[in-house]
Amino acid sequence: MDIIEIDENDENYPIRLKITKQHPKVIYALGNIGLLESKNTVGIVGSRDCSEYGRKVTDLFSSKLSRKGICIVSGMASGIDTHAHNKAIENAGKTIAVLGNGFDYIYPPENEWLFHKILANGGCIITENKKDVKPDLSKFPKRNRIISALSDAILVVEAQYRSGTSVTVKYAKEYKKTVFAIPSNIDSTKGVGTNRMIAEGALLTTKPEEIIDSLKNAEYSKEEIPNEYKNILNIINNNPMNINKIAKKLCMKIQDINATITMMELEGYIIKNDKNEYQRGK
Amino acid sequence: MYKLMCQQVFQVGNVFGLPDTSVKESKERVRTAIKNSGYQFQSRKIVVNLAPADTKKEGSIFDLPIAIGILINFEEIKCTNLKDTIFIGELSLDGKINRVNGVLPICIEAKKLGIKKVVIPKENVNEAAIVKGLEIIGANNLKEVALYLNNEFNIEPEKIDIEQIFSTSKKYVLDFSDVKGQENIKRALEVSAAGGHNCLLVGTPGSGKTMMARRIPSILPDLTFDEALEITKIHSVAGVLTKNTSIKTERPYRSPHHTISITSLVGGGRIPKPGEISLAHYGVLFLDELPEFNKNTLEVLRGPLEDRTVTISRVNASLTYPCNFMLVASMNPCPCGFYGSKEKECTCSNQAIAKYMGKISGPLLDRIDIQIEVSPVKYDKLQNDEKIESSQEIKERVNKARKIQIERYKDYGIFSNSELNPKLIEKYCKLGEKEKKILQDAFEKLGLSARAHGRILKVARTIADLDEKETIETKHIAEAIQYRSLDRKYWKN
Repeated sequence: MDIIEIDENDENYPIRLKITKQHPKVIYALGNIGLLESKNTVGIVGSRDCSEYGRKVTDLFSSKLSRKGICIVSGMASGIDTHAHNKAIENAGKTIAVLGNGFDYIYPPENEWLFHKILANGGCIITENKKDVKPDLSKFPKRNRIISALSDAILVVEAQYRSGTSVTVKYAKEYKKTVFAIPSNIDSTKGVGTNRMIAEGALLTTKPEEIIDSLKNAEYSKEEIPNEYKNILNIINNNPMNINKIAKKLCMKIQDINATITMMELEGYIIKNDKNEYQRGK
Repeated sequence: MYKLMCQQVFQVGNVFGLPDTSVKESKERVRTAIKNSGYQFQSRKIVVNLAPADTKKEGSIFDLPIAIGILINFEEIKCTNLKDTIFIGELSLDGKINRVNGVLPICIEAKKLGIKKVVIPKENVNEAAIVKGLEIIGANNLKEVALYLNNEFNIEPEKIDIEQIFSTSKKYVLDFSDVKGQENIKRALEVSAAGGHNCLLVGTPGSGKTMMARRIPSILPDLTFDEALEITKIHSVAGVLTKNTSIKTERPYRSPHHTISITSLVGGGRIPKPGEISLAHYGVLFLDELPEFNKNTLEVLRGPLEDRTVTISRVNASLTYPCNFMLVASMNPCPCGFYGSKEKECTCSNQAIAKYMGKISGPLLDRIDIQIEVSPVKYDKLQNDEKIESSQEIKERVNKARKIQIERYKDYGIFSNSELNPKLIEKYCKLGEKEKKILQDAFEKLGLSARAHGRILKVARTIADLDEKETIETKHIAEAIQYRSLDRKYWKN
């Protein structure tokens, strides 16, 4: 795979990044650069040394957001970043990794698998550094501004006191992005930073839906109702109905209706009541 | 197979070689039978040894060989070339040879040992005749056997046409064409039958659970010869074969009452005999009113449902019987029976319902692939005369799906999707990205328990087989999810 060089005057240069003051003159990218202009992006960041709780929450948020078609932006570091990318891929979602070094190096080395997994599954990896720039922890906070710039909202899962994550949040505030933070126990050292962010005005969040709703382009997820769904909804109307009756009214085979009903139930169009009948969902 | 030696030593007989009571008693039966067959019982001591001497022998099947041994000794029977011949049979006092249990497995074993000829009670010939390559001689009484061996009387070896027995179509009195409405339940049972999946029907009294369960035999896939032989062996050992049956051509359907004991369910006894679960091997075990069964009795099903064999250990013997059955169970949704009913108000408290449902333990529930809720059919629906699919039509689809499975799993020694282990599930129940996503959504939205995962995959595989599709598609997985929907309503864990 070839490295794509995108100049700031290039039409492929991501608009979100361009409008920030400190944007790099050139970015280098691998993979699907189309993702850089995704309709909705959420940056998921957090400490490298995360707790089990942090991992669980990251998995949950990343999966749900990915399944809504939201692109997950993170830094491919160990801990929270790794889980955020990985879950996005596992849920057939989109993800962008922003590196703090050149493409000659993969940092951290143990994440080589993730590097390839992101590329193999249609993700995108970018950096502002030339190929031969070595990973240097002191330079990493700089790349956090790119993560902030590319994301419509930032979710901080776990952050220790004065960590790289606070840099991301600092930029996010500067760029006027919404910052969400996951609350931690007050005695958890891993969550001191996040709790502090909440105290300083970050939005406390416990549900992925809250983030989805906050996104400007959230209305995109409203799809056309498929015709076969419409038929069933018309038949049910305000009259809860047994599956056999629905099948009969539509002259459908029971095996087909079984499948359709399950899909409708999963997508929230209908719900099953106590009486073994289906009614319209909310 | 035991060797028999008779030697004349002084008077009065004695039987050696670890005989049990029924074998010891045989000396009296044999003596009388010989006398009543018109032979002189010479008064001298006879020693009968059953070799090898260190194995326990049980049952009355040694009467005939002992009698033959003695008659040879008395030189009443001149033929001495009895190599490769075995005798099985119980004698009554008048010399008649009575029917015994377990002839089929003995004959199968005999054939393996290179035996050419078996002499057995006339009433047992039908079951023994299915063993190819054995000369089956059915005798009515001791005299007949003696004359036969002396070449003074001819008995034609029994021959049976297995093909013909298998090809005669079976008629079922109970047919699914009697069931009006309930299409979704019929479909669920069709899937169950095709893949051998365990199935639980939950519904209010009178909704037709038992009625439909009784009709399951009419849609079960045809037996293969190997399956039939195995079933017949077990039934032969248990002594429940009827006189005229040579081989079981129908899958067994056992429906024990809920007062059944653990021993009669899984098998047992001093020398363990097969229980209901083994008698239901390759067939259906129907447990009506599941929560009424003793909780401990139900729990013992867990192992056999998983292993598909049961090992019963007693002091005298430890035996393993196969029990690869399809469990079909029915139950009410609550103690009063009307929870979720439209016609009647349920009077049970939440705790009462939870307690009732709690009688079915999670691990047991885990092993039931398909759970479905039965709603009663309205009176007006019972009245219309629409054409209803007959069992025969359903069975054809089931047969087709089962053939696909047998072909697919021929290297693994299993017959159906329900027997898949995690490794095989991974191999044969692969899902595409889209299907995976649906399954994941289902787990979150419908609150399915993690244990449902493998079950759904197996059922989806069967649905795809019924559809004659190589890969599991979205609609297959969606339908399979439908059959797990009870998890969240009743068992909220």
